[in-house]
Amino acid sequence: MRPLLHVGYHKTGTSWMQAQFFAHRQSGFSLIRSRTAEEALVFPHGFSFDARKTRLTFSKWLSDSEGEGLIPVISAERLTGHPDAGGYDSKEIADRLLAVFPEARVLITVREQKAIALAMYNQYIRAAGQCTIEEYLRPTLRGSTRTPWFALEYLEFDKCVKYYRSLFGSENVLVLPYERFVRNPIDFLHRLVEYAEAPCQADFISTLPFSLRVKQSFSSVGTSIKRRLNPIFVRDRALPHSLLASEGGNLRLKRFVATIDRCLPKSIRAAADAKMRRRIERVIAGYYKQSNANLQEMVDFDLREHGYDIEARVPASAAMAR
Amino acid sequence: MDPLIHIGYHKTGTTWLQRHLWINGSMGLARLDKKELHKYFVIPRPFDFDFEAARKHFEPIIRDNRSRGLLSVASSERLSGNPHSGGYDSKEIAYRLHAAFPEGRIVLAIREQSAVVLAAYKQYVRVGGPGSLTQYLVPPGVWPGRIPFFDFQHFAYHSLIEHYYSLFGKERVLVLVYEQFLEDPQNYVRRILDFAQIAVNEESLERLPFRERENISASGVHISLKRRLNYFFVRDSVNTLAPMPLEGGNTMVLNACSVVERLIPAKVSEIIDSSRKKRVRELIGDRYKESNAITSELIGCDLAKYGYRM
Repeated sequence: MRPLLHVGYHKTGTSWMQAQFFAHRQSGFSLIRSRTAEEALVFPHGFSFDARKTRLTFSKWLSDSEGEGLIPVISAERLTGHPDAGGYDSKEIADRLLAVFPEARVLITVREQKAIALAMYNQYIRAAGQCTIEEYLRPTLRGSTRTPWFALEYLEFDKCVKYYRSLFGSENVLVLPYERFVRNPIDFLHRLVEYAEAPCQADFISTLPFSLRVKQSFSSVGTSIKRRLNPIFVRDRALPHSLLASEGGNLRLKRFVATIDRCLPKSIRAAADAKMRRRIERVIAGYYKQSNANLQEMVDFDLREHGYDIEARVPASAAMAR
Repeated sequence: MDPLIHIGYHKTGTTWLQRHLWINGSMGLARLDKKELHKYFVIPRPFDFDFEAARKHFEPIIRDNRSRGLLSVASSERLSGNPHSGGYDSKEIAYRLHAAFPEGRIVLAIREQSAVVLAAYKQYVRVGGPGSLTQYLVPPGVWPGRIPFFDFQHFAYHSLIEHYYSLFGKERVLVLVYEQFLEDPQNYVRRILDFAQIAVNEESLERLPFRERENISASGVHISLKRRLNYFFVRDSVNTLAPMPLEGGNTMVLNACSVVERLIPAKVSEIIDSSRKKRVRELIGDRYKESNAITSELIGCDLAKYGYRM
């Protein structure tokens, strides 16, 4: 049974897939806790990581999966790096994965960059962030080489896909767009099952709760409120000394913001969200055209059809005429 | 052809070497631009490093220096990683340097950990960090996987030394002990020049300002005061919060702290410093004993003699 490594990206439906699909044996997969995978594959310092020992920590799970006829799957979006730190370790983690699971297949789920950037920003604010969307997407901090923060390059998916293909072989790397999951989740999961050769039960996929949202996000109004309150109430590694932080402070703040969000008229939330999307558009307009064109060469779905910004393809005849 | 590469660590007398030795033409040395080193070796994202571009940029400069009888020196302590983010990229940078300069020679200096960790904390506050010593060394929060912060592992020297040995070969890596620089700076420099295969110009060596100190460590009061002001006024990658960031805020705050510092008896700073030293020693405990023993073995130097815990 060849393991499947679902490496992310963040905000591409990974939580839903982990909780609603991979976690059920009828899916044909045997899921290991993402935290276990992170502790073994992500957290060790560059010089502490030992591939052989790491493989041993997974050996029981691998043999149990084999015994049950299930595909062992690691699904952890952190394996493509963390957006808040610009995926600084994404390459190293890919190397580690190859060293530990050289026989694996890889699944990379991607999402149109403006949408994923918004979702990542919301996630950052939910955690403890305090930057505006512009500051988050294009940090202009002094001493930028001291600590890594978000970088637009992180969402140049083509580079990550290319690297994984170079490590595992192009036939062992499947890229699927989140948009396909949203449009037709059944088709998405069938494609995944077919690729991983998972013994999924015949009617299991059609019974899944596709309308269920695992993580509720705030509107842009809620995000804006929480951003301003985080420095006061939330203590985090990046905010070690908030003024009034207390145990559970972030949870209470999230509830408070969610309540405000619910009380707001839909029209106000929609207007704020639209404004936020325009701000993102201003920051990243055109940035990913070339990257998406490169990605298009490596995937079997039409990126433009799914809303990705992509360099217009010049028809071969026109190129010849030039 | 390939340069001498001085990778740090931070707080091991790197600034002195950069200001007085690496730029010293009469010693046969010429320093490569630090910003360019960062541009080609530190800043590129994980999938973006291009060793050919780096080589293409530095090759003509190195050739030109050589034609003038000078050995090029690539010196930046950032090449050993940054302590404020736990040296998260120190291993990767070594690969990058090796890819671009496989025949390079490496100079790396180490320093007893409780001293270097405290110096790193002070540096963190000087650039804008708002955290207390404990918050800096043991950041709060349950999940360590988001953004890299200080990591004690960064100063377990044997790992980086072994890594450089494996890439460049032991004979091409010189590991220096900072305490030896304090003890006998002339001999320290002589060892570097020998390693670089440069005939020592005794006259120039005599003239080096060994007594001059660079980046003098800030006092206890200065640090205590500055970190609190950083919280409000200094925005930096180690402090993204600062609700009232000022243009040129860091210099202003540094100056203000220096003024206030003079008004407070030196004894107060001594008490704060000694309490911080004690705290650092407590937090470090025995964690470097094994690493120091391995390092001693690797570099053929009894580190216990210089106060390293073994």
